[in-house]
Amino acid sequence: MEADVGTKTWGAKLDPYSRMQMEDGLPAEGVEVTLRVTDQAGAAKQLEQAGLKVHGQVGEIIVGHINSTDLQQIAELDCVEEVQLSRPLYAENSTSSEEEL
Amino acid sequence: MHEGKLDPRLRFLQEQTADERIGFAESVRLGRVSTARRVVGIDVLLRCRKGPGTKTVRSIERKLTARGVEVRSSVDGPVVVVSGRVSVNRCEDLLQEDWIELIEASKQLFPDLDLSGRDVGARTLQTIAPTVRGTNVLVGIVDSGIDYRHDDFRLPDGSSRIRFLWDQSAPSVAGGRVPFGREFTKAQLDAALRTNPAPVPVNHNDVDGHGTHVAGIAAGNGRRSSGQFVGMAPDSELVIVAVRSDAGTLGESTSATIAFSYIVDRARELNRPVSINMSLGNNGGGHSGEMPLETAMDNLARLPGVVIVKSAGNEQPWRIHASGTVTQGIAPVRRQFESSGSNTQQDVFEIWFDAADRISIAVQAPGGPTPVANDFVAPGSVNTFATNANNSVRIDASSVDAGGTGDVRAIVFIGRGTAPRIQPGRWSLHFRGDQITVGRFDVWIERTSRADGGAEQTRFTSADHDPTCTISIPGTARRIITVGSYVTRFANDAPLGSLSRFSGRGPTRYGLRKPELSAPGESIVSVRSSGANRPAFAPGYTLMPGTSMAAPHVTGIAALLLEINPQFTCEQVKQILSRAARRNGAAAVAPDDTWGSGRLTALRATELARTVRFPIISNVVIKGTTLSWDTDIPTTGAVRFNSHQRRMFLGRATGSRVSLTLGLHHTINLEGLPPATYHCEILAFTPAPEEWQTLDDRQGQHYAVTVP
Repeated sequence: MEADVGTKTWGAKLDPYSRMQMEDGLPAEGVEVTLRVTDQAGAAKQLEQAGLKVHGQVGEIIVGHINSTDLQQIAELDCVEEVQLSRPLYAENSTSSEEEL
Repeated sequence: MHEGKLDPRLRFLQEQTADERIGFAESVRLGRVSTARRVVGIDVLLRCRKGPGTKTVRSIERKLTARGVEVRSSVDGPVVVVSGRVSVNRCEDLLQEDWIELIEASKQLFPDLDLSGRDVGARTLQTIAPTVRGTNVLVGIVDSGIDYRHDDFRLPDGSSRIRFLWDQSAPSVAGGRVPFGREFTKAQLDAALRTNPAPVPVNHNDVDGHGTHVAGIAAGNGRRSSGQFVGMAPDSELVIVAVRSDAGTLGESTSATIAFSYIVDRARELNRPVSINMSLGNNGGGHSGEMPLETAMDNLARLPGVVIVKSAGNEQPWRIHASGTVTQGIAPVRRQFESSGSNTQQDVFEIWFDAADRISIAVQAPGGPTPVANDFVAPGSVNTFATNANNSVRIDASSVDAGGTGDVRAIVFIGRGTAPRIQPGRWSLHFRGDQITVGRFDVWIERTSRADGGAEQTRFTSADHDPTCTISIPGTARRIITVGSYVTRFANDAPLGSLSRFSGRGPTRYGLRKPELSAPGESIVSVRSSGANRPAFAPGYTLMPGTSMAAPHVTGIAALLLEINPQFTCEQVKQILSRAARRNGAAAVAPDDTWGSGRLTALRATELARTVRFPIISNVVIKGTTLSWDTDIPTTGAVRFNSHQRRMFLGRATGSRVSLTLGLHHTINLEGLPPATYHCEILAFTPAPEEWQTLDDRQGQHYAVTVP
């Protein structure tokens, strides 16, 4: 019943939420992804070569768009420490229902 | 003892200083103010019981007059209701009389952005010389967008105050400077405001209205209301990023990350300091700044002239957090949660604990059997199964070093599976300590859109929820300023001046203080987007509550501090705002993890900003196990350290050593610590009572000292 996905180096770099999304099937048009990298100076170039369209970089964090089929290749790069797919954000104005809780 | 007899507004006034009382009473028109005598006379209604000595209306009026009430009229009945005016100072005396059942201030609705502006002292800064109004400072907003046509975001000549607007949803154009969506410049916005059709059509429309409201609080100039609803930094200019909204969500972690980077880039291009607001969040993360978005925000917040402000979130009433301690060899710990049956999508639970522990996790559905040994999922593993009601459950505990933190991040997904919805009733999470060193675990339930009032939101039971650590992500980033909300307008019986019931609470999972401070957030009148379906409070304005509204008060005031010194860092602005914060009334408990340092206070903050001198650390040298440095002014010093660098980055030190002799040079020796390489940050403090602080962590790279 148990599957040790942690032994897959690239899989262990994905957070569980992203792993779940991958197993459910990623959209054909690709995904937005946030990466934590070790080589701040050289990582963007490596990632671009591996198929990432880099949108921006802030220190060790790189954001970009990638074809779903290329995600594993990106995660396998040595310079990639962590891979996270987009998580939704919510406005933080309170609602009347919350007042009633 | 007399709590229930006094109108909360009067109780609030009693807790204010003389100046604050005057400002408040004027703004809400509670009565007449004699500024010369520094006395606030409040129009009140007194409900008086008849009895010995108070048998008649006349006798009651006489007694009230003797106690300082300026009686105007009375209505006789089983109880006597007296209308009059009284000084706030005399209310306490009146409360001593047992025949007075109630003292209530005359009721009147009042303008709230106007009120909150007075409450924090911004109005004085904007109107009394030398004025501070955000000149030459940018305010950045990452939100649903902006009603760029609204008068409050335009100059007197009708041109736009927005320097750049990046609409992430707009169709891209070839050669654009943004990776997706479309950027509009001030020139394009001005042209669109002037001419119809515009040479470059600006089809941006804030249909949600949240971003427009937030921008109005931080930077609206009040033109539409002739100065009634003025934001905190009305002379600042704006850089807006409109994130994509979809099915009740507002933006995503990836697009928000790049939004911050974009705003800082534009500020650099214009050579301006910038104060950036984010009033968006979720619950997905370890709540100690671990998420990549939080790392990016922390990195940007290191730059001089960049301040980042985030709302604390409104998660407090939703019971989204539970925690506990497991012990090896003892029965598993259970935390129960309730699903209403309205959830047809998915529940997501984030579980974090120290990787030194081996804690196994199991899920029990309503009416399902108590988990047995094989049902538990250990760190490094994942398991998926269906419940008796055909819901799907996935326990993924395979992130054993989540983001390099040395913590385990497990996620439990509960989906409807082949059933129409998640089974309603009481579910349980079970935690078993297989090998324990620390034993602590934390669980957060991811939030839903709550579009239908939140019925679909799963929550922990009242007995099992933990009200701490409810700051929304990315508000737990270490270096940014996270803002809670307090009440400045009566609504839903929330006592005036109290912390909003919804306001997210700290600390972080690593125990760092959050929020940094609190600001007016309940409820605020600010700019209404013409494209949004929100009721008007006044023409062009609407009312919203939330920490979303509290944060931009701080963003705007931070912009004023950047006007005074464009080189301030976020950490320095944080120190100034924290030092200036008021701790009166309900905020007397501050500093704590509900209020932070107290209430936002602009006047005092600008005074401090004009005089503060933060020490500068230089000449850092590592020699063997010693770390030495110089400061430009006399300081004391400290070194905080952790052998785990990522944890040190997140502010989790395992130890510290101090140098208490006031001087310009300090040396600290880490000799005696267990052999390891320690990642250190240096702190320099100016002498008491100021104790201004500078932290040097080598731009997040830390000073590495090896103890053999």
